Amino acid sequence: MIDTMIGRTTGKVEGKRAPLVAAGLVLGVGFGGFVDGIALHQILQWHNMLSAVVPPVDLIAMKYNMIWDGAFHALTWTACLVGVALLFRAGRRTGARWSGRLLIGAMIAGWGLFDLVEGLIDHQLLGLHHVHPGAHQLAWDLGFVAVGGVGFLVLGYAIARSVPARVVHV
Amino acid sequence: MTVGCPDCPTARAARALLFHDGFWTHAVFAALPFALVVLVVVLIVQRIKRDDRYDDR
Repeated sequence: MIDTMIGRTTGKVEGKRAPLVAAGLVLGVGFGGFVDGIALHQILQWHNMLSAVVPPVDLIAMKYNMIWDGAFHALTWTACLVGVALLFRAGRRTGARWSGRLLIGAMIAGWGLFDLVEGLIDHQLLGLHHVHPGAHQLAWDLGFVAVGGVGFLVLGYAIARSVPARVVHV
Repeated sequence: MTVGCPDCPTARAARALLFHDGFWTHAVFAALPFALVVLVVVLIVQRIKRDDRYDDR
């Protein structure tokens, strides 16, 4: 209350967290998706988008999966683009909280949210692919949800919550 | 592989498989996690907006 009064009379108040959190969450979804696609699909080649539906055991099946990996990357690219637009808008808004720690926390939480939803929907519910098919497949899938999903979500939330709700520039 | 691969038999076979193997079903499946994530993000941001308004008072 006192901060608000001081802010209204003598300086600028940064109190609205929603614009920066929205940008961070969407950027986290996009960058997290890219980590998944680049590291697990392309570099390690543990799985592809539809590798449990059409296993990439010959060149035709590999090309088929490559097309769907491209569709996945198109969606992550779109998330990054939307995130940059939201970040730009947050930077222009009067009263929007501007904190690197809040942005990083929201991005990590967005990454975790993506891993959690992707792990539950694609791996468990639809069975489109698995993190590391073969022996201990379920353990890999559950580990992905636990560490990359819930772990990152909790870590990001903790970082974002550690940022003071409002700052007054006197 | 002497033929440029955009038109090689392997690429044509992969495209044929793409469009004859539940294309739209797989497209919806691929987009579903993103749609759900967007929904969750909107709900989280709405909640934070409410908290921001509460803090203003």
